[in-house]
Amino acid sequence: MESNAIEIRSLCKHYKGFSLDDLNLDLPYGCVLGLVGENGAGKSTTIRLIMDTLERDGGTVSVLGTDNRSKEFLDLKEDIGVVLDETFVPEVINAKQMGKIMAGTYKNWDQAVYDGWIRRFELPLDKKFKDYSRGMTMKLGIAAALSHHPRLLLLDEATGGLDPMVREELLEVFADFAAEEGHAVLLSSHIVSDLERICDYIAFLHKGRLVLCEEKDLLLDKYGILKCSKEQLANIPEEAIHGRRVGTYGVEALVEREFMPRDAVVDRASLEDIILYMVKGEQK
Amino acid sequence: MLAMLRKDLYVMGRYTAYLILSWLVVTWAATRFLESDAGFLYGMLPMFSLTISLNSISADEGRWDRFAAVTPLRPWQIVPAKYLFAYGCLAVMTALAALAGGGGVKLWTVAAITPLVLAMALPLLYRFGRQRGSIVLLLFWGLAAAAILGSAHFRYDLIESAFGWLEDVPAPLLAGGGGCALLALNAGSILLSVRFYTRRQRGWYG
Repeated sequence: MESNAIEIRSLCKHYKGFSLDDLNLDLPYGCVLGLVGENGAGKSTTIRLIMDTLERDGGTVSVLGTDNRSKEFLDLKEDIGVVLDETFVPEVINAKQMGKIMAGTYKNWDQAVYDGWIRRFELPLDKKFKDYSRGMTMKLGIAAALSHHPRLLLLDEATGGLDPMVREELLEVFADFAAEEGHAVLLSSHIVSDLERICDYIAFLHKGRLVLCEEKDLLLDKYGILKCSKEQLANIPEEAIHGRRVGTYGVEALVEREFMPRDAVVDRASLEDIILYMVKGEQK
Repeated sequence: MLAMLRKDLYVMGRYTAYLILSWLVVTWAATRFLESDAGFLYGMLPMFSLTISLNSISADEGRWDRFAAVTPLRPWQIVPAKYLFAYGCLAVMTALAALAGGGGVKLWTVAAITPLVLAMALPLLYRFGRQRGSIVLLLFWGLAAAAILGSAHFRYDLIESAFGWLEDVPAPLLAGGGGCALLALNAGSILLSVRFYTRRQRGWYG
């Protein structure tokens, strides 16, 4: 079996006023990749390009070892569970009817698994979706995505707008899914704390450009926060500094530990710190 | 394809029931109080099937269609299912009108014209989307009606020379030929709709 569930090479998509440029990304099996970026950074576009529901302008995408433009990819969609960022379900139907529709959509549909998820998520079977909360709707989308035995989960802002309890529950579900052999998860979100909790890899998209893509633990080891005075910061090598915030009483900077003097006290940076400093670092 | 038909039934079921109920009330009131010929009302029922089908496409646009694109469903399953749903609605509505006692020439004429309208309307909706498609459709029918009425008013001889020969064709042959033409038109319409739907799904039309 190939080592990556998703391999993206030099992927490009140009819109008027927005370009996704030269995207290269790998999602190894057994891992959760967090795709993070501000609204309009290109996260949903990337997911659409992975599913080949959008015409690309260049590059290649391989999903579960298959070129996503090949005829075989249509059948391969049986193995991919997708949760979109908004409700896709017609408002007037209920979970029971949804199960029947999905049973005719996926050959691998497993009604017992679906019923199990509906029970686990405590979703009412006969309530129409227009009366569902956002949390319930996302849970339903996830139940549907997991009930045809997928090997790959693509989640587009699946935790956005949910309360912490529901997010916690869903993150556990995603982590458990990825832990199974031959599975992988791509989770796009702008809630960085969620990604920090469950992701093995982090890819950061900013204005359609991939700013970083690294193993999360390496990333957290690599960077740190330095709190010092302006004068002290002036003595730090410029290549160590990736962003700075100047306050009344001193300076906070995102620094790369490798280039720091041994005696410097560098605090642990959160993923959110790293991303925020990197974006703002462009203006440093 | 059956899954899509099932979804359309779930989504449009209640709307259809309301339409039929309203029609029953209006028809009953018209025949009871107006003492006029309510024949045209029976013809409305098959036309409702057109409304239901077009609304069903509108309801799918955006959300459901976006989801369908990430499932193993092919445009070849999704679009013909919509046509089947429309034909099914037409058959049920026509039968209902006939059972209600309106099985006259007006009903059968409308029932025969509706697939023609469907064949022209659906590709336009798949090509231009719900909002622009409705406007294009209105323009199309407006221009067609203006052309026919204008010709009939100013150059009736042209219409007579173009279609006059139909009067001499035996009725069974005319019905058979018309049926075949309708079938061919719908087959072409399905092909066109699948093409437009596929392109729309891939973001060709913005």
